[in-house]
Amino acid sequence: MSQTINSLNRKSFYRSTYWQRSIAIKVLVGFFVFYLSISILIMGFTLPAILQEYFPGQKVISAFNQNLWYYFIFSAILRQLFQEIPIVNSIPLLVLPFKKKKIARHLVNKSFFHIINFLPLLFLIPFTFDTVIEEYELLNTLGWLINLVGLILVDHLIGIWLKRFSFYKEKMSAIILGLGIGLFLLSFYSIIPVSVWIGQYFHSVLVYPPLAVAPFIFVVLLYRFNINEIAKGMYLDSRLIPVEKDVNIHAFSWTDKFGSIGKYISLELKMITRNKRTRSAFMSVVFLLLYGFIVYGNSGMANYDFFLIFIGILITGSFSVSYGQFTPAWHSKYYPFLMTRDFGLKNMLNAQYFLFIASTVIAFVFSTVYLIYGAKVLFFNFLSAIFNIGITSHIVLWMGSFSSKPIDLSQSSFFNYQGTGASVWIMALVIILGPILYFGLLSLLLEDIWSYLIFGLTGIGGIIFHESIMNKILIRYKKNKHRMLYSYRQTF
Amino acid sequence: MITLENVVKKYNGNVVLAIDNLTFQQGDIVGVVGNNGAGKTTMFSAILDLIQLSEGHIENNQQRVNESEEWKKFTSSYLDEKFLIDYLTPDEYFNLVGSLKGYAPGDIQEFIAGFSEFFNGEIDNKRKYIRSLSKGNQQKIGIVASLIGNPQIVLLDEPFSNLDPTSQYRLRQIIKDFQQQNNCTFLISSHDLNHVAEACTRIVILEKGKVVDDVKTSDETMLRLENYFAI
Repeated sequence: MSQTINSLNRKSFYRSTYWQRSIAIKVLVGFFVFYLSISILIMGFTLPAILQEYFPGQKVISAFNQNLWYYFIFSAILRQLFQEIPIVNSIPLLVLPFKKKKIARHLVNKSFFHIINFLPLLFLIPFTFDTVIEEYELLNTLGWLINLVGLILVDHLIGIWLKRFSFYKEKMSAIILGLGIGLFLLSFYSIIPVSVWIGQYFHSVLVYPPLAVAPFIFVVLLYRFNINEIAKGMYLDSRLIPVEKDVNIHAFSWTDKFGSIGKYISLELKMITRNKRTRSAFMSVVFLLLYGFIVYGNSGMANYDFFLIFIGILITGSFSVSYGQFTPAWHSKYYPFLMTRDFGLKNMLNAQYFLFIASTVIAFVFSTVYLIYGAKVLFFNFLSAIFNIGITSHIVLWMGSFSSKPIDLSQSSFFNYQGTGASVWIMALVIILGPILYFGLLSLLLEDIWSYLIFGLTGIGGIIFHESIMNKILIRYKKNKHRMLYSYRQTF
Repeated sequence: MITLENVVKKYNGNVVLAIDNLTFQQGDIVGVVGNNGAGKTTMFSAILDLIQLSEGHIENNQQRVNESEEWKKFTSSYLDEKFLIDYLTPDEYFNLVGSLKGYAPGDIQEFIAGFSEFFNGEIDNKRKYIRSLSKGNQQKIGIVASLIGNPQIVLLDEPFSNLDPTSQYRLRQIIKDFQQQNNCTFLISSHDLNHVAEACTRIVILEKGKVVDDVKTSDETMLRLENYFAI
């Protein structure tokens, strides 16, 4: 029986859509994981120096022991947000002759193999065998490490248990965060010396290694408890399987004021607010908006004009870049509907363009907070905003007609490369590098003031010729209609 | 109204649709029947210009569907759930379709109210998105939306599947009544021979992309169909 489950498991792994992605994306994701692992590994070696700096009066190991629990709070939040226990996948197994407990145990076992359980080992092992072993016997050091592994597993199992109520995950992570901050404050103001107590506990494990068994008692208990709880909840109507609850419908009725394109704007806004994928894509807009705080203050690059243009394009065009690049793939699911109705593709594209303008203007207004970094920054953001409205937005719409990958709106966009075909990468390059190269060329050939002027005028030119540019774009969409319909029909 | 002439559709060299000449007249309720892979959905998609033909052409109201988009003004269709925008509520979807036809939300509500029996009170709940409704209810929404705005031609792909028996009978009646009132053309594909024989005035049997039979419905139609499909 378990052989059957394991074989199903293997198949679900190897046949997962993840492996069917293009080689470029695999390389990219692989590189990212590699980079992350190396950074954490290096942290394991450099940690003693860092701790020494922040806690000068303390021994490195005792500082480590006392502050380790922040990591556990942090990982508990990450677990709530990113770790899934795929109960839904086990529905087809329910009607087959498997005992429910067996399926539940299988689910729990499988959940251990998660990157979040292995990453901490990457810095714990170097730290253990580089720093701790200097001061303690091998046996004591091992006991200390094993104790921590046990605690990671406890963290994991508690996480899985809380995770059962997966639709409360935002609330749950907020509660954990609140708990963490509360404990930090209590300990920081020495009301209850939480950190000291925890430090003492780890210290006693170091002195008396058999204590390392303690977490494993909890591991066994929690393991069994989880299996029982999951097996008990294996019903289609139990709370373990998420259902969409009744929703608060916001109708965006103010869009009526915009006349004929109003209904298209409202459709677009409904799509953004009512789908998981678009909502999380919207988060990256917020991130790009705040990007200025990271670069303007810190970077010596901020003195170069072309760099300011680069940041300006990113900030004022944050919506066009992160959201617009998947136009019209956002509508891929019901593209046949759009193509068989008298839908007014032109109006739809104009609505999209309207959103680009509105978002650019809003982003520019927001970017006035960067005035704290000097008037020059604001001036460049203004130039970029005009360029974005006149040129970038049109390029985004034009490139959209090459779109060839459908998007499933119900999936989250974190680590989601769905819909990311070659055209999207090329587009990102064109949108971001294009203006920099263009500006760079201008400033090489002309005096500063002239290059600013021509750069801005180019954007205004785009705005003036909006109508004829849109007609050209529309012809492309009509020409590519069948190809787009065909690629959107492919499975996700 | 609709004419298919020397229509051929090939996928990787395999012919999936090959129709020499087929015309659907105004006022027909045409049932298109055939086993899986007979080319029913392909034919509908071609009429709606959702796929490109390898050869031949299709005319809707004397205009080629791949050259003019006029047909979109009087042709409605529901092939599958790809014709629904599933993050809208049913009402929002109806209003959107209505507004594309130039109707005000109030008129649409009035029109939809005429189908309350068909909906059986299950989509009245305004606080649900189409995506969280059952397949049968989604299909009802798609079918009713395709009747909005006095269409002259309505294409429905397997409208009876996913519906409960009562709804199937109601739908049959809706199609007949709607045709009487508007003198429009229906193209309906179905696996349910009984409903097709009862509701349609003309039946086209497809096999491997070809028309193998094309008859006006009469008392013997059901027998003829049963003879054709029985093993």
